[in-house]
Amino acid sequence: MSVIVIALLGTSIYLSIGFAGGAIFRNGSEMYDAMCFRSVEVVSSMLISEDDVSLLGKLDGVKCAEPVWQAGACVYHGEGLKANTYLISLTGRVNVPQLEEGRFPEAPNECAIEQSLADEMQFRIGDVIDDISMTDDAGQYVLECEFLITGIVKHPDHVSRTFTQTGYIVVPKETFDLETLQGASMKAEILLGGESGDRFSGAHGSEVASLVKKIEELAPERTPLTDAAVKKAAHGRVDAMEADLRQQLERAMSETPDDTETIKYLERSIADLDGYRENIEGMAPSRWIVLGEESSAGYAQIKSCGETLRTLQTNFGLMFIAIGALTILATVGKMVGEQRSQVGTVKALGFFNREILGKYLLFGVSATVFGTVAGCLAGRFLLERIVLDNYKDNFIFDLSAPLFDPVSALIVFAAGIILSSGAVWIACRTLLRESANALMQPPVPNGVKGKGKDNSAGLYSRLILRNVRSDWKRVLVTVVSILGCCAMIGVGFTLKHAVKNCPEKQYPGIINYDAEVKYEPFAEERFGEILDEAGAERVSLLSTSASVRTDGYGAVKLLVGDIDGLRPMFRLLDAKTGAELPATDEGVYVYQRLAETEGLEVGDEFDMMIGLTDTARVKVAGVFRNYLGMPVVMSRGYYENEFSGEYAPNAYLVRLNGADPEALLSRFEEEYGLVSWTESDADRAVFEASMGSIDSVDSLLIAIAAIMAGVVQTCLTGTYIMQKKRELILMRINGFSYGELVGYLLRETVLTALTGIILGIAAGCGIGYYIVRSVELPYAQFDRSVYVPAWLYAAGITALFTVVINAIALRRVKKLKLTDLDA
Amino acid sequence: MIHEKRLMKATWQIMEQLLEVDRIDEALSGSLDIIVNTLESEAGAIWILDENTNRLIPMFHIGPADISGVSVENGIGIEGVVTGTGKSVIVSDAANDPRFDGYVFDDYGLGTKSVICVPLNNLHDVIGCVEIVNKKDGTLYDDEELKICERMAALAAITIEEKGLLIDSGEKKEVLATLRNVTKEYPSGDGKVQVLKGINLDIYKNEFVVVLGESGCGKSTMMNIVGGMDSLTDGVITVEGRDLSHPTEAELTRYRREFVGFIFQSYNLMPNLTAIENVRFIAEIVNDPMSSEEAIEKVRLTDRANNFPGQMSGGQQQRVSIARAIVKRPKLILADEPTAALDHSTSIEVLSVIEDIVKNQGATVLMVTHNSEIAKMADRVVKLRGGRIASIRKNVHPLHAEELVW
Repeated sequence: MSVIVIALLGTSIYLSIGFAGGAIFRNGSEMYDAMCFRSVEVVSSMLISEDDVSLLGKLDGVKCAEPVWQAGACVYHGEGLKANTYLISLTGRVNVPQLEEGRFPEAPNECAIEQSLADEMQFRIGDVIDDISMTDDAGQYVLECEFLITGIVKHPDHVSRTFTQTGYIVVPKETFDLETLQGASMKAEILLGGESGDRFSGAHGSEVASLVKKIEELAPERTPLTDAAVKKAAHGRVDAMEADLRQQLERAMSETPDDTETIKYLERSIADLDGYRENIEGMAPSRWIVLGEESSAGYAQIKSCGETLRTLQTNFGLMFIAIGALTILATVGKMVGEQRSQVGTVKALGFFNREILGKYLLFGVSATVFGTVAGCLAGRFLLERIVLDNYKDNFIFDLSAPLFDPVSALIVFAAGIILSSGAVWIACRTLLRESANALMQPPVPNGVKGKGKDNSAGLYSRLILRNVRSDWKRVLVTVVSILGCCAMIGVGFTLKHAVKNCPEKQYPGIINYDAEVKYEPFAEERFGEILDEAGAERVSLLSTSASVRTDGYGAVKLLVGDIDGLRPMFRLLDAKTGAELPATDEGVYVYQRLAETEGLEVGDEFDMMIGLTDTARVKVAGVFRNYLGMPVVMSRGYYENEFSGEYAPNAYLVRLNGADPEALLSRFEEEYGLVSWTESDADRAVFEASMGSIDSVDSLLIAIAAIMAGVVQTCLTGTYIMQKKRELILMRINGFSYGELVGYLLRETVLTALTGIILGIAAGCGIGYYIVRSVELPYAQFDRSVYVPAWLYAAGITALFTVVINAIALRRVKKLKLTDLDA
Repeated sequence: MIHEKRLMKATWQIMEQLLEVDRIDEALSGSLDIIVNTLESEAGAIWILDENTNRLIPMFHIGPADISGVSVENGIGIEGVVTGTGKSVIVSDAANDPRFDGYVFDDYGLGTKSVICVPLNNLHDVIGCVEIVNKKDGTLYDDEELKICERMAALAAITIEEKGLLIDSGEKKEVLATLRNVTKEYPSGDGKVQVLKGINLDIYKNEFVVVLGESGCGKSTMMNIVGGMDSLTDGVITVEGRDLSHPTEAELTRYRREFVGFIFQSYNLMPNLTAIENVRFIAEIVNDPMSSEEAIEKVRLTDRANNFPGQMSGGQQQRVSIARAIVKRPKLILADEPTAALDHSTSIEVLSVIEDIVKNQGATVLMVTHNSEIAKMADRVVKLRGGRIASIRKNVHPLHAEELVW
């Protein structure tokens, strides 16, 4: 029974987590396939021509490419509802939105919106979005200013519910001025036609990476053509303007020669056109930003969830299986040992060793097979469901359809058979070497070798140490099993704490401001006054999104300003030493996770891009501690040296000092120029929502680890007492009291439990650190410190199990029949 | 006719037994066994007159009542009257027979229905009597049966005359433990199996008792009960006058710890303790132990004291086991087939040590064995059959261990 239970637990936890990880990958992949989620996205700092898109569509492995037009927009509705979003063209072949309600837009003044935008702005089908302004240059190509909402859609760019992104306004491409754009688009979405199937597989990732590389190699050939075309078009427009101005000038000179002001204005305008021409010629060459699937937050989150589960499966699951295997070895060994006399009898009757071994193989393996099959079923129908339910609310699509992976199940099944066969073989090996006669005699336990020396240690201590020496295999299995259980429980609590404590380390350890208020440059002074009046502290800086290019593109939040001035609000502590990093104009400070994931060290250089055009190669001046979010910090001087853009502060980091944030926000909203008000711990909510799943799975692992600890200890304690039965009866016969027997037994139990717990803590600290590091997210660094209470819990739970199980098991000692001495 | 043939056959068997068996005690107890079986009786005894005390002593007896410690005054009771008068009697209701003043078997739980008692007449004197008690079928003895008893008694008297018989008075012995009507039942399937069916036995201080019997006759069960390892179902067991019939766990533990030493067939030494440590392990828990070194010395193992059991021969291990038993200075040593796993010479070594313990330590040894040869060195030999005591025999000339041959 114990073999069955242990095989069941090990198999169920290993497979359920693996199945759940696989299910998330498979369901995510199917979901993306259904929406033809783009494999690669090409965004241009200028435009992508029809020819470019056509060429991209013809690249090897590409199924199709489709142009996308988009423009940043700010939508207002009702009283005070405002959202920054994108107007994006409806695609039909790649990145196809899924209609939830209503119909797709058909006319240029119609749109469909995502549910998140509908919820945020309280829009319904049939409403008209009539208060909308375009927020970037692309807005000049939008032909409409009012949009009738015809439907609610889900967009493949926004499948994550955790990373709240304002939903798109999806419009027909005719909403954009295609004539002026001459068919060029803002970006191209590309769908791979490969046969890798699973979008989260390594093969698929390689295909995507290969395509990204191919397109990046193509970019230098294509962008000059676009640049030339754009320049040509721009020159054409300037030439047209000049022609028009000259026409006006001629008319003015002939019709109103006295109107010298007009004539001078027109002449000056014509002269200014040379400046425009110079600007056009001096335009920075455009570039393509080629993004793989991982640039999508939703894709990255699905991948992260699946990989986290796979990591937990690999680490925890293997520990479960290893402990299970050891316990099965001990149990089967004991089972075979108990039947030594029967083995002797059948041997004497002429059975071959292989026949005897076959019987025990059948016996031991069948228990394991039964447990493994039960574990498969429990994993598939119970635990996997529990694990997947935790991920249900993370995505707008239901990714919780369970998966049964027959290959994994078969591997575990085969491993179970191999392990149990090995255990039986090891257990039988010694027995089968003995003669039939010896086996039929009562067993004579192996003693230690050599002369016994009467040293200073007490008789009991010597006896226990010799018992351990002579029965080291069982003791080792016991210690390792206790070690494993203790380590698993401790690692579980460590992981729980590491995740939970991540925001605690960030707030207020790193972040010491309450909110970030972003404003239009003209509002800086007025907003400053408002904050001063409210008694809030403030630091002004340039806060913007930036992309970091190492192996791929990664988004970061760039803070530029006076580093010493920033310090009270945002602590820059050296990742290694914890010392304050000095202000410098010699590079950028990057957060620790970025340095780790991208392999950056002080002095390394990497490309950083602000917007789509302002790119610089920056040097790492230092790595600072950071637990949440993706901030990089540089001084104004370094920014001005490296980037072409002008330094223009656009945000205040605000420490409220008791000021009412609601009142402050109202004040800002009464003024012009408020871009956004963000609580400093906004990342915290996102993090906690996304980490809830890991936390739940971790709780499940702790629970199973605790059950495993209970079962393993019950099993091993039972084996131990069975093994000591003869000695115990002998002691009882000779007048040892029950208390003295318990004392004798507990000496070894306490020794092995203590050793197991101590080694479990030692090993667990290392494993815990490794697992915490393995499941960290790009934007979150968990608390990696040794969490002492986790190890106290682990030691406590393990010790509690030891006490309870021994208390129960030792009652059996009381019931030992003294007449069973030679039984 | 059949009855006569049976009696005749018994006469020949008795003659064979008495004339051909060298040891007088074996010859007499064997003859008694033949006649009790032939007459299908419950019990029997050969009483010998101790001229020094003028009392009759039951040298051999068969049946459920242990009358080893009893003696009867010459001239009183059935045995005394028969010995005194030299005349045989058949008694049908001994308790109410006005010729006799009480009856010894009645006092040991064996109600007498029918008794034959015949005198042991040698050429000069009456030296005792032979007594056969209760036909199993409840009928009375007849004259034919009386005659065969007289024939057997005559032959026995001649044999005693020829070979001589030392009389060991049981009255000098102090009782260590007493079992009265002890029964033991074990559940078996839906019912119960009675392994002991009413054991009556006295164990005396400083005696060596060997218990013989077929497998399953209850000898190990009886020893387990005496050793406090098992509880009795019914009856009474007293040890040094203390009732241990229904002891508490603590009383039993104390009893085993301070009172009993155990020697097992398979030695049962702690494999991870040296010889001396095995002894010390036990010595540490008792109140007034012998020194472990002394115990080891007594079993002549001083030079192997620091060896582990795995490094010793079977005989040496058994001697360690004996040292472990005696280190407590127990009053009772229980030995369960201590030589069963040993060869002859090693067995003799072990038995010598046990003999030495009885003689020099003053302990009582109760040994269970299948080997009837070992019984020759016992003071008394108790035979069990079917959960009852079949016979108790005193060895008039117990042999030394070195004299045993098998």
